[in-house]
Amino acid sequence: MHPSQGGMMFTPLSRIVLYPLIVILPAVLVTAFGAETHGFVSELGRNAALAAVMIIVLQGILAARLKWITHPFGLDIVLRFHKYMAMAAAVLLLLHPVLLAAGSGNLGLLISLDLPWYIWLGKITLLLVLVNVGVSWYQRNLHLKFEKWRCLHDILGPVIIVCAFVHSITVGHDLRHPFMQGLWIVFFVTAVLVFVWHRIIRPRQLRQNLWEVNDVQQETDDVWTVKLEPPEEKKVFQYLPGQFQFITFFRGRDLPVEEHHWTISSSPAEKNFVTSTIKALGDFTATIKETRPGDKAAVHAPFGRFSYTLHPEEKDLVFLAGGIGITPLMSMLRHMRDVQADHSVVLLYGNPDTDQAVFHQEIKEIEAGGHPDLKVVDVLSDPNENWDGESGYIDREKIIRHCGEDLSGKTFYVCGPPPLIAAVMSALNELAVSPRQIRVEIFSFLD
Amino acid sequence: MRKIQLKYATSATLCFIAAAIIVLAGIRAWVTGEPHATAGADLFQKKGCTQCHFTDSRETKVGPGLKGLFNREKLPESGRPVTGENVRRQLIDPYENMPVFKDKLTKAQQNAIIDYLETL
Repeated sequence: MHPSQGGMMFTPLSRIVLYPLIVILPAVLVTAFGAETHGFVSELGRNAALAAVMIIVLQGILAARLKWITHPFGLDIVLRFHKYMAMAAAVLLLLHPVLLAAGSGNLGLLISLDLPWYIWLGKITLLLVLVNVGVSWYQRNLHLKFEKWRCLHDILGPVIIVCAFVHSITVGHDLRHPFMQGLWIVFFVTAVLVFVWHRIIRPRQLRQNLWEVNDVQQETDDVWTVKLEPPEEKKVFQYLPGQFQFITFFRGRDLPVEEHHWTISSSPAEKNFVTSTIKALGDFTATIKETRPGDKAAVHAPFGRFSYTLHPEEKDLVFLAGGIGITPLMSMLRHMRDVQADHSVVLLYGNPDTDQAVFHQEIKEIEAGGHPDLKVVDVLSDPNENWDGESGYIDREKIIRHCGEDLSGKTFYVCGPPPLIAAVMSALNELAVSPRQIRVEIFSFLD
Repeated sequence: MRKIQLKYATSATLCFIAAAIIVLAGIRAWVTGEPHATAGADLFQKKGCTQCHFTDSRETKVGPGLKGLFNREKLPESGRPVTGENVRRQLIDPYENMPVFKDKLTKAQQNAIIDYLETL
């Protein structure tokens, strides 16, 4: 058993079931032990708030990269669930005052300014939740940089938890029961402790075991591979080809110190180092070329479920990659080469031209090596005049041409920019490829 | 595939939570007997509360006016926070000169009056 699995006491399904049971637990207890009742609509409003507050409490736990939660599902999926549940909490909190006002017939709760401080605190909490959810959903539309969004998220999250706690414990009649108060305090203290662990204690621990940049290799005009070695007397963590890591570079020279996640591009067969291949896409990644051997980095890894090794029965693979989306697939190809895997792989690799195709030479060498049984098809959107290969974009016809009409036994791994993923998914859908045969990696947690 | 599973899991989770919220509210309202603000208004009249309290203003009659009671931060006279429990406490163990209703109102009747006061 992998040490990160955290035991088999809870299967992945039971962990999914556990979540809504925890969310409704306070409402169940209030139903069983509550002292007052105020009619169905008011009770509905109260239960909505109890469930919403529990969702908020669990949000920090979902986002804390706890292996027990992320391992069975993948961090990307857990964070998307976190995002959807934030929206659910916002809706429930919006319904809360409306239902209470409707249930009591007292519209003053909604429109009056002459309200106790703890009611105003509840309204402020609702406003903060709406801001937090809105900014997170529309981060790109708002042109808010990731690091600024994350800073705002890290401030709003704990503030919302504290405000929700004070409001609920002050105004919630049902929470006056000592048992309920004790339970409420346990929930909130847990949420705060997990946040402190995730954002303060663990980052400090990682900084006490800094990795060192061994080499920085330019791959194309705007892509660099950074090679990292673990601290002395430490080994490279166990990872699967296709997984990703969080890296915080400490480079000095006034270069920014920010944590970002990048795919691991090296093969797990390499025991002495890991590499991430990084494209200059934003303000931070534009500085990656400034990274020098000897620079330090905090590494938190591995994460992700985008790996062929998790599905050993699947031997007939199709890799559909665009641009820098090749990185997790390159890790898999390198691993197949290193372990002499007998998989059959067709790689359709989209780029403007071959000069911008990262790892182009090494991929050709792997193809020539025979392990895996690799067929590489470059698809160039802006080829030079002498190009006689595939041009344009990866589409339905090219998939049929290189993978055959019968796609039933194949598994597709898709990674690239969002337009490529959308186009490829549409093509695979037209070709009646089952979703079970498709695995997609999306870089951004916010998309 | 994983995204589809996520959608199913999220949908199932949300449906379960929504259903639980509704069913639990129904159970609670049904088991404890749905209190009615109108019943509370009748009781407020019958038990003679209107002799001492205005319900449409904050002016003092004999006792304080109760208009917008649950929109206030503190109960008049006692200064305790405005909560259902503190209103109940005022009914069964009044802070000052108000009559004691401990043996004159059942728990359900107290709830009905509290519900009624919330509507003012």
